[in-house]
Amino acid sequence: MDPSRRLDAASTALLTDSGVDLPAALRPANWRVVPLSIVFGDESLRDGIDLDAATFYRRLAAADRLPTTAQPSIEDLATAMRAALERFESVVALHLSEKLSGTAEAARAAARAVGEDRVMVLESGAASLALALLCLRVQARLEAGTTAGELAAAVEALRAAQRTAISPETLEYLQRGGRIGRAQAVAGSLLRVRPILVIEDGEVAAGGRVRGAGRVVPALVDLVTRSTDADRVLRCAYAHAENPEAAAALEAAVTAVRPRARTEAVCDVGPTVGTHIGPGAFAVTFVHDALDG
Amino acid sequence: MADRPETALLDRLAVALAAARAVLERRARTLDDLNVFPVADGDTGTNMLVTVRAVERAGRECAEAPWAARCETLSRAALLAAQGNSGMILSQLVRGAAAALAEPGPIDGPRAAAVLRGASDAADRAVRRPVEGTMLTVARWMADGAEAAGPEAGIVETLDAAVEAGRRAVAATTDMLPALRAAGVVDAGGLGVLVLVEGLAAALAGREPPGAGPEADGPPPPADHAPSRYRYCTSFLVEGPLDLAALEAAIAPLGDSLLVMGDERRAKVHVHTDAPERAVAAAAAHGAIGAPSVQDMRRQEAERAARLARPSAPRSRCAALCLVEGAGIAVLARGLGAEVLEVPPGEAPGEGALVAALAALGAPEVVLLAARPDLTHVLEQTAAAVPGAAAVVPAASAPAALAALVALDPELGAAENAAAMAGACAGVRAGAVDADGVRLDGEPLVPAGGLREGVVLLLTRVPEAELVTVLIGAGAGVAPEEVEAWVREALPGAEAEAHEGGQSAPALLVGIE
Repeated sequence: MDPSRRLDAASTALLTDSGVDLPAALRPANWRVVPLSIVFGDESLRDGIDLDAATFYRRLAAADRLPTTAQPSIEDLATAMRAALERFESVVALHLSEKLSGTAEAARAAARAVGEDRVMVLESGAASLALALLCLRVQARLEAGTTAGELAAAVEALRAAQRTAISPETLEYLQRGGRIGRAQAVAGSLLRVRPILVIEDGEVAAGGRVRGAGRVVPALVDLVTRSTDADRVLRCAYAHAENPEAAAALEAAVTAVRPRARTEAVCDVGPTVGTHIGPGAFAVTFVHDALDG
Repeated sequence: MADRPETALLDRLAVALAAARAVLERRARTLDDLNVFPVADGDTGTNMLVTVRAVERAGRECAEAPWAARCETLSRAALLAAQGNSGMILSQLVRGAAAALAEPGPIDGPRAAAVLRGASDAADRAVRRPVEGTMLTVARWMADGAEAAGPEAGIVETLDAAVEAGRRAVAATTDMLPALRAAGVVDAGGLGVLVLVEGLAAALAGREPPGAGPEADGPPPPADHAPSRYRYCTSFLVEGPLDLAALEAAIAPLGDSLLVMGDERRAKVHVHTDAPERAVAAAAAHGAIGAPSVQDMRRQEAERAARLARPSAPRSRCAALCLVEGAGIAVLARGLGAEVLEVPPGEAPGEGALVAALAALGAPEVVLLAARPDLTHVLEQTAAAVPGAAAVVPAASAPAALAALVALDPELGAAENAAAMAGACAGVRAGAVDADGVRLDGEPLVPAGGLREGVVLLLTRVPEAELVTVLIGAGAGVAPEEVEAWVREALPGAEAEAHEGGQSAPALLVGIE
């Protein structure tokens, strides 16, 4: 795409995938969400279409073998891009982190087939709430009007600045899905230890560990305060996998130490990411956006 | 037949190759560590990755070229980049695969089988003294499996059949090669071939690539292994008109593991030798030399051994050594990532044992702590004698030492860790319960009528406790569940956790946070 191409919310579709976990009601009209599929044994279900979060966690609890995720095909993505281009002049695609899924790579192939002059695929380095927040910050720029070059640079800057801190109930799901990465360091102990994870550069890494339920929220808040500035606006999104009380407690605790924090979204972790993080997890993602000064 | 198969398929193949490379990237270190044959220089995964990356890059760069030329470019890129035995053989697999892909006709299931057969045949031909139980075996079994899928099978079905056969082949390698059997491992290169085709199949089917969970790789292989007779793994390119047999004969006297691969125009030479410069000079008489690469296998072997000596701990900046009394406490401390030195009741650790334990840590910085407070002064003397950065965390009790270890972060330095760990200890009050009474934080004994009464009495003094950890002594004769129930009875709002500690005294060590 020509870096000087004008992009705005009326003429540009934002294409993402079901790894975004933003409630449908919060999705702007120019967003298009391509589903990944969740495979339970021989059964393949499209995230958000054949399978909602509540049903998913019920099945996850009952399954003796963990489900796997399947990325959309290049054809699926190309079809979604073509459909979007019937109503919009341009498509900006932001998919699950390439470290976690092949979707972005497939989207790039689809963009080559559809026409890279009108479709721009950007690397998000994010999943779930972090992808949601990134997409919402992109949306803010589309609404203000921007260019392809500016937007690509902004996404890169946001990706580098955005931080995510997660409390999973267990590391079992990450381990079984092969996506544990450097978080392995906080795994495996006879003592009941609660791991804290962070997403660094699109990959799961260890953020520490604590014992005792009462220490989890303070540990997550500590990760927020360590890398943010109390005087600046802080854009935040929260997410939980069937654990709304924990997410609400975390939001209250973050807002207490960062009065200029703005909650952009509270997400239910959907099946795509839920398969890998497991039920009970909750998280915060946060960024000082240059747009806020 | 068009010169170029449909663009969509090519795009899918390019994506699939990128996905397969990503899977190999995640597994590369595992393959490095598995590598014991022909030389345990621990670079199989790395070498294969170098070749695959070169192919992927070449594929991107020649995307506009005619199909047959594109296949030829991939083949050449693989040969140019090849380093090490596994990289060399992989380059030949790529060469055979590319030649089969370049043939006219539809790209379908039977073609997938033909590509795997072409790959296997090319590699078999290129290795003059083929050995079973290696990449060659796995590639051949995979071609057999793909052909057995039949002419009606689609690409994915054919590749899945090949992967199935490949898994059997990889498992069988252990018994084919004495070196693998002795180490109790599968062939690293063979596993690499399987990982690649598995990644390709998953990506073409639209499945997320297979995970790289630790359970997939089994236990790590033993660290020690017979070293190579020669020191340098040397590879370089020779361009000529070439007489491959004469080239091979010129280099053969200088070493072993010799591979000369390519054709009359261009060949890659790989040899293990003590005289890389003489090998290059011998080849220079036959053609122009390019892309030389020399790896010191002694250093690689040492690095692999060092990595494997501490398989449970990731390479880290800071390690912790914890002195404990009690087998159960030792297990808990190890589970938190500490190295443990067990000290008999009432004794101090021998100097020799302490030095040996420190030497085994393998991290540049260390934190020392003791789960028995009377040993902290021993550690202070030790820390003063340690050459690198060392810090002592004064833990007042075993539960405090465990709380400190929870705060250990191997990526931080000793000083930072010691500060965080001391903070974690400071929040822990320690209780000791015996049949005749209880003590809190070393205060005088308060009589109690038994262990249960003692626990309840102790906890009524700390009503604000949120987390109670009990370590059960060797002779206490109570089960963890029983003790946890006592704690919940005394403090319904607290989390309770009890484990066998195995200490000689007291009967129950209670950590209160």
